[in-house]
Amino acid sequence: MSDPILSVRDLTVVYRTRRGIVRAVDHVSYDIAKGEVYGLAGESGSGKSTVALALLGLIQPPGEVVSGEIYVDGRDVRKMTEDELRRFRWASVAMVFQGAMNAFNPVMKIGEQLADAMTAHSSISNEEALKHGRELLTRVGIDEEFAGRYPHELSGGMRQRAVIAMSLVLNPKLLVADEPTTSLDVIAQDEVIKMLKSFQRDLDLSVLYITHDLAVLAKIADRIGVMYAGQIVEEGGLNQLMEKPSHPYTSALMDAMPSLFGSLRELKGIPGSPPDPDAYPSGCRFHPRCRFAMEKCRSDEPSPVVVEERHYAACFLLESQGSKGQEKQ
Amino acid sequence: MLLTGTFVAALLIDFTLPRLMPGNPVQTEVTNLIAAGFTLSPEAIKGMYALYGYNPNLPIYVQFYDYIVQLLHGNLGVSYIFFPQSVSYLIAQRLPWTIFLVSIAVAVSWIPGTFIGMFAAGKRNAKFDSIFTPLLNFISSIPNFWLGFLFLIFFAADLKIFPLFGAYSNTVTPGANLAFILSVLHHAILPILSLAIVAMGGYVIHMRNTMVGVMGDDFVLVARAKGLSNRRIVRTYAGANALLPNITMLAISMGAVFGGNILVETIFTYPGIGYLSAVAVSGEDYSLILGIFLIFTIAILVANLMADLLYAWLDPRVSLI
Repeated sequence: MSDPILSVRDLTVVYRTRRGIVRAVDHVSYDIAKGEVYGLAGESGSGKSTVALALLGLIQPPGEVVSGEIYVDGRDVRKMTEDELRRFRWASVAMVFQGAMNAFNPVMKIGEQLADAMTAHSSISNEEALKHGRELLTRVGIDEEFAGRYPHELSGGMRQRAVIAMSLVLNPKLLVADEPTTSLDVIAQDEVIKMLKSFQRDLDLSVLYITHDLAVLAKIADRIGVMYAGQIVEEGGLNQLMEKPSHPYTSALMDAMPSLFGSLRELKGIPGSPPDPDAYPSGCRFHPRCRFAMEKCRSDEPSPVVVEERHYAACFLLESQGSKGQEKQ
Repeated sequence: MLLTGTFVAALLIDFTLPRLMPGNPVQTEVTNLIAAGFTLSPEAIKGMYALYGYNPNLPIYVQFYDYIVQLLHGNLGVSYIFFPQSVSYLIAQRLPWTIFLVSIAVAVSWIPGTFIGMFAAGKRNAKFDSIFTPLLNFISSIPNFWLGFLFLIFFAADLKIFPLFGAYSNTVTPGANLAFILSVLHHAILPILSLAIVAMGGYVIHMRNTMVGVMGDDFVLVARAKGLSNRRIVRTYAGANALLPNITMLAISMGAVFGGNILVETIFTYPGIGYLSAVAVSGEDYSLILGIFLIFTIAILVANLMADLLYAWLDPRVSLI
């Protein structure tokens, strides 16, 4: 594998609240190769969005990155000064945010909001920036006349496409898409996913795609990390995970996902709800909801184990199977 | 349409309230004259009622009808206290002073107040918040007339830097000459400060709180992620959006500014509408009270209308139709 565009090592992010310290992201490590789409899946509150914000150095008090390294194209984001960070944002890592409804400033024209990202990073003139913005809007299928409109004059689907256009104005190396299709109807969802996929291919973009929806990842991701309670519990290639889900949580997520093809089967919910981040269960954090929980799971924390090449899962079931019980380095 | 409804409702209240006070202006006049040793025949008293155009024996709705008819003819009546001057004349004489005082007070409190609130929220730090927020709360809850008293005692009576009363000194001739203008400014500083300081506290707090709310909105996070400068985020993203509720706040506060202005003008014996209204109320001068209330009502409605127009101009989501 060539040098990864993004390399996150042992990232821990906490939020200091009145009720105590909340570990939103707990010793998370992952890599994204150039041109790869990495899907991060998990329920709400699993720490997915915090992972994304940390990449841009956007964790703000009461949140704090307490340990770990984030290398983007070889540069450590945590070591950048405030000014370096400002220049780095959007130029190296751009983001398509969750809830496109609110991603635009309501009192500013769409075209200007695309343009100011450009003028903030280079000496490009405002006219040129506006022109480039109109070109990008056309590329996402929005008539360039809408550059002069305000956000409330666009439909939800159009706004989400405009958000994608805005994310591409500076040709970023890595695109973070945080639940970009949530709150859209299925047709608009499909449009957005296809659009992201085609841009990703054309521009050889690396993408971190964050969602709670495994079905979406099946359409777009090359590799998938499954997050639960602030940790990545399983990681592997799309086909590896789909064919051989090795963590009980991954299997449970798949059972909860309807399938368009194949035999009719009953969808199963996951009993219980995700743990409160300020009071994770001891041992394996999934054990209270796990069908296979053993005595050991209540007290000891499992470490990632190699399932097959570049496919890891953190579960004691794998160790007890013996043969492949080899720890990830 | 709504404005007209509000206007009529306000007129009705303006009309009824003074008549709920015990006594009536003619009675006050009669009592004064008798106390001064005059003997008045019942015919003379009847004549006085006729002169003022006030008949307490008519039902109040007939009185109101008569009032509206006269109002539509542009007739605000005759003052009892300043007889035989007309109410319109008295108001026309005093109104410019009040407009001068209030508009400057609002301008020097709202504009800086909004900017201070904006930047206070932009540079949120614990020290600033823990000192300034309670201080501003304290300032905004001081009654402005009380502050006026303190100013008067300290700066005018003790230090003698500012005059004690009036709108200009009697040594200058009113007109477009420098001495007069300087005298007017000199006399206006303390009343304006009493009004402005208190009002500003409220504007700063309101703007800051709105800003803190807007800074948590998604589009501000997006602006940060875009690598925009802090200055641009605070002004163009958070500030422009937080400004809108602060305009509404301005319109709402106009009532309080006018109310406070009555007492402030009274304290500084300032020849504006506020002082005139205090005189009118204590002398039970129905016509004058009504005339002044009418002006207050119009002023507040106009302020609200202007706020709405400004809002529609600044917020693309709001259109006038």
